[in-house]
Amino acid sequence: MKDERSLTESDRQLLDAVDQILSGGAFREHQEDSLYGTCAYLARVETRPNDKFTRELEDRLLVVWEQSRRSGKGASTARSPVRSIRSALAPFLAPHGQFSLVRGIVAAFLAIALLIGLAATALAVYMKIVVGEPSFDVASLDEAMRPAQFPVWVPSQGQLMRVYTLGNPNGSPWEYNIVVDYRLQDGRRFTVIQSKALPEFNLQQQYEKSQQDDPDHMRVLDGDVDINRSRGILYQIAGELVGTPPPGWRPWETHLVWQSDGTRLSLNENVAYPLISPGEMTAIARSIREAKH
Amino acid sequence: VGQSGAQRDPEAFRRLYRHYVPKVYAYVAHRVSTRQDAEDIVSETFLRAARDLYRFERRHEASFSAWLFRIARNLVTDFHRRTGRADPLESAEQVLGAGGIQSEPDQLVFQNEELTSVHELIHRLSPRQQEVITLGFFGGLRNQEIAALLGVDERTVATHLCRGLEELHRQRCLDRAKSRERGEG
Repeated sequence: MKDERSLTESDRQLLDAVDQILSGGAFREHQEDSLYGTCAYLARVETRPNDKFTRELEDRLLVVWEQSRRSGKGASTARSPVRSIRSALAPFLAPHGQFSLVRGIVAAFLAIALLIGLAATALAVYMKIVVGEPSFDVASLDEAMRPAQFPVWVPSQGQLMRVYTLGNPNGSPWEYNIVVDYRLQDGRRFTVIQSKALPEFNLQQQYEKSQQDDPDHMRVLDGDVDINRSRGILYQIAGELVGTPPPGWRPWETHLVWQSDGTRLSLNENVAYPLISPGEMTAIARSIREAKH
Repeated sequence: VGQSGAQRDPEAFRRLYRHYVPKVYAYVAHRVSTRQDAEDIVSETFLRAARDLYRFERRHEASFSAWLFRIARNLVTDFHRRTGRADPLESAEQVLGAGGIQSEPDQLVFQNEELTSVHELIHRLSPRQQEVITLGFFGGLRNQEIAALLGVDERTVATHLCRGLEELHRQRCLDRAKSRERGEG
């Protein structure tokens, strides 16, 4: 029996033939009864979806795409200001991160415009939030859509940076978010994005899944999780998680989402998430008040 | 077909979808048992992709197609885990049968038999061989992309591909010999 990883000369020839066949050539050059003929036969097979199915799915997708595009823009802006600034400056950076002269001048002008914009925004935000008391008491956060309970690792005192909304309150659930930015005493900050939960992704529904090997730590609410353990690091993490990220999880790789009883709460930003039990998460999610738009 | 354009432009997104839907469908159809299951999984794959497309750039994926097939593959895995059922070979034609084949009626029968035969042959392989062959031949992924998707190195993918094709060829020869025997008998 051949070793799983061994590649013989005939294997290499077969791989070359497969490349050739899959790139559209050499279908008829191989004997039907040969191994290469079987490869050509396999490549010739065409499995197509039903036209009606394809059309109907396309219509549905365009609706979802539009909703996601709107909420995605807002969420990404709120999620990581540092990365947003970096990506905004990306066109002005030379390949190795150096400013070119012309691009640098343009960037400088834009930076000034950005500062003016930020100052105006800060003023507007300042007018919106509670004025005079920069610190907050978690227990007193009783406004609509704010959790009355936080993870135990969140200290009771911190600074409320700003509260703002994204999207249209009369639109679909995904289109409207209330964003609360906090800065903790140790300088870390985190963002809570609150919106209504989509019913089909409710925790109690069948979409709640568990990773077989680590059910307490990897409860997948939505999306998919793929961890490459072979390299000893976590990466390629997609979707949203309910639960405790394993050690080594970098906070910007995903964000945590609680979703229960019609309310959705997601935490992100540069906070390293410590252990949170599923029971605690559920309690936090349930402590969120119903939105009163 | 670029995913970056599809993040902003609905027409680009539509083109992206039309480009990939036959490939994803072909991959999924050869991994499940019925047409309905295949359509459900393909629908969910693209719905998730549409919803999460704006986040794609932040990921460290080998390619957009690898990302898309990762979603599809995870859904197939979930499906098998949830249903806990093997793929009944006799229902292969439910997946691969009428509806999508644009052929003359006399060719349709031949095409159906051919598709069913391929489906059966693939399901006689090991799970990893099935995965590699369906991703490569039906999904159109390169070995490098398959390796990233499965979390193995490219050499391992190549080995699984070679062993799988050899086994599939052996099974096909056996089937043809049996068929000839029945015809002569």
